[in-house]
Amino acid sequence: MSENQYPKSMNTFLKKFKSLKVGTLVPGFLRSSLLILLITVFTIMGLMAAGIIPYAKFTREIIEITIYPKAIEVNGLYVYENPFPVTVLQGLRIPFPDSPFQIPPATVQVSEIDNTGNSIIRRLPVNWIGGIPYFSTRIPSNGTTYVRVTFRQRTTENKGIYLLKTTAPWIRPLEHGMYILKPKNIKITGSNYPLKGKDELYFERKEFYPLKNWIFSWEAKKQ
Amino acid sequence: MTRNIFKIGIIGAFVFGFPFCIFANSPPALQSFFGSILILPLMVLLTALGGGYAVIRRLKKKKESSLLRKIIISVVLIFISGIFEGTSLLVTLAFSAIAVKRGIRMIFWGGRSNPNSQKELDIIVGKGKSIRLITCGLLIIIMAIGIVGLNIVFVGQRRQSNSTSIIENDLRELVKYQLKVGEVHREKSGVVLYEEPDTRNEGGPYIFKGNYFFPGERFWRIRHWSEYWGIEFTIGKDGKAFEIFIWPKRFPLFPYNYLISYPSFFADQTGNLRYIRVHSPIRCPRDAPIFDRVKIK
Repeated sequence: MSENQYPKSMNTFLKKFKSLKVGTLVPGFLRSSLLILLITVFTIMGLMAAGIIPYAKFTREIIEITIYPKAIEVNGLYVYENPFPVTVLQGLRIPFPDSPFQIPPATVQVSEIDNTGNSIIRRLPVNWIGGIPYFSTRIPSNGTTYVRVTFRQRTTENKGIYLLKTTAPWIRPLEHGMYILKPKNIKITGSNYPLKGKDELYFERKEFYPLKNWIFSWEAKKQ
Repeated sequence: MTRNIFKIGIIGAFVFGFPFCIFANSPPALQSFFGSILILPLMVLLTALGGGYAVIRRLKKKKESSLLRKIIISVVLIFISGIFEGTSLLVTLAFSAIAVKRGIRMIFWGGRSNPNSQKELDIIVGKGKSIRLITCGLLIIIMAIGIVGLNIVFVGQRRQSNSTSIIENDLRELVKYQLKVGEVHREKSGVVLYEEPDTRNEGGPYIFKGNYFFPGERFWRIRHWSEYWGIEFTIGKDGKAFEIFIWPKRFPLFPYNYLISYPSFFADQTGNLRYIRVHSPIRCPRDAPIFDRVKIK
């Protein structure tokens, strides 16, 4: 469409937009401030895009670890909240402990689930880059997303590690964390976090900023 | 002054935007739209390094468009690209087109190496700057195309990535079933025997016929993913052994295939599940590390 075909108001808007200049738009003393503000916004967006500053808030998690004699199965429920008035796409990665007795899994299953924790809304594709699985989850504006991550790791010794450190990338502590061990034909013999419970052992924390990973050990039940 | 602040800020955004690897409990990670936010700062950096701005400034005869307008448009587009992966690709394509155009112009300027010419452009470009202009122009083009390719790779690999954990679970069930079949034969005849996959097993839960396993849902599912996964199932001549190879089939074009890896599986009658991570359709070797073991008791 040529400018003659636009409505008069659109023509006026286009002419003004095309002639938009810093010098005529704002007084001199505000010019640099505005540019610095925009550059700051651009830099913050860059840091968010790089995953250094997260978009979302990581508020809660429930980690269930089923322990078999020679393997552990991790079933994690992670809750992310979006404080912004627009939908955001939050990138995440799933690191595994660098441990000689815990073999990295072949695959990781990641799903977005509903708030009851039972129904899968969609599977999230996981891309393994440099041996680390990455995925993204969309969080609605001022909303919450529930993500379930499941994987199984073979263990060569009767102990396991679950990474809890470095909540630091999320900047703030976890509002609530629940960590459960479910023994299958084994007996839990140790945990560096004190555990409660009888059949299933657990510990719970609020305003949790973990300084150490969770290390637990077990022995096979004698048959 | 404002132009210099802008350029320093853009370069700063690039420097601070470089991702760090922090191993933690599902920490935030590189966003898929990181490419769209990276193109413009890299273009500015390489143009400055190549001496392109010196040429641009002298060539501009008409009044230059507002710097503020360009920044506002860029920020808005990047903001939009952070919301949806689809818009991220479009914005990245748009920015890379701008960058490629800049790269081509810089190569064109650098190619004009004629010290005797009286033309204005040749005088402006001058000799001695041509190598910098050409090199940085080439780097801009490579960078822009590379970043666009990255975006396309991750969008295009969705179904291959989505099926990976399904395939692993189905492999477990397939091995478990075969071990059960062997156990049933052992109880009947004292010898562990595994069945040929095209034999109808009356009363058995899983039947393989043609391209379908039915009614066993899991076996059918492996074949359902045959566009993305290759499967080879063989029974030994004496029926006392079986081998299963499952390998990924769909990868991005070179060199992007080296960014992503998928597991290639092998399993046999020992119940050991083995895998290696591959960047192309390669079968898992029989002596690959064991990552799990299936038992039926």
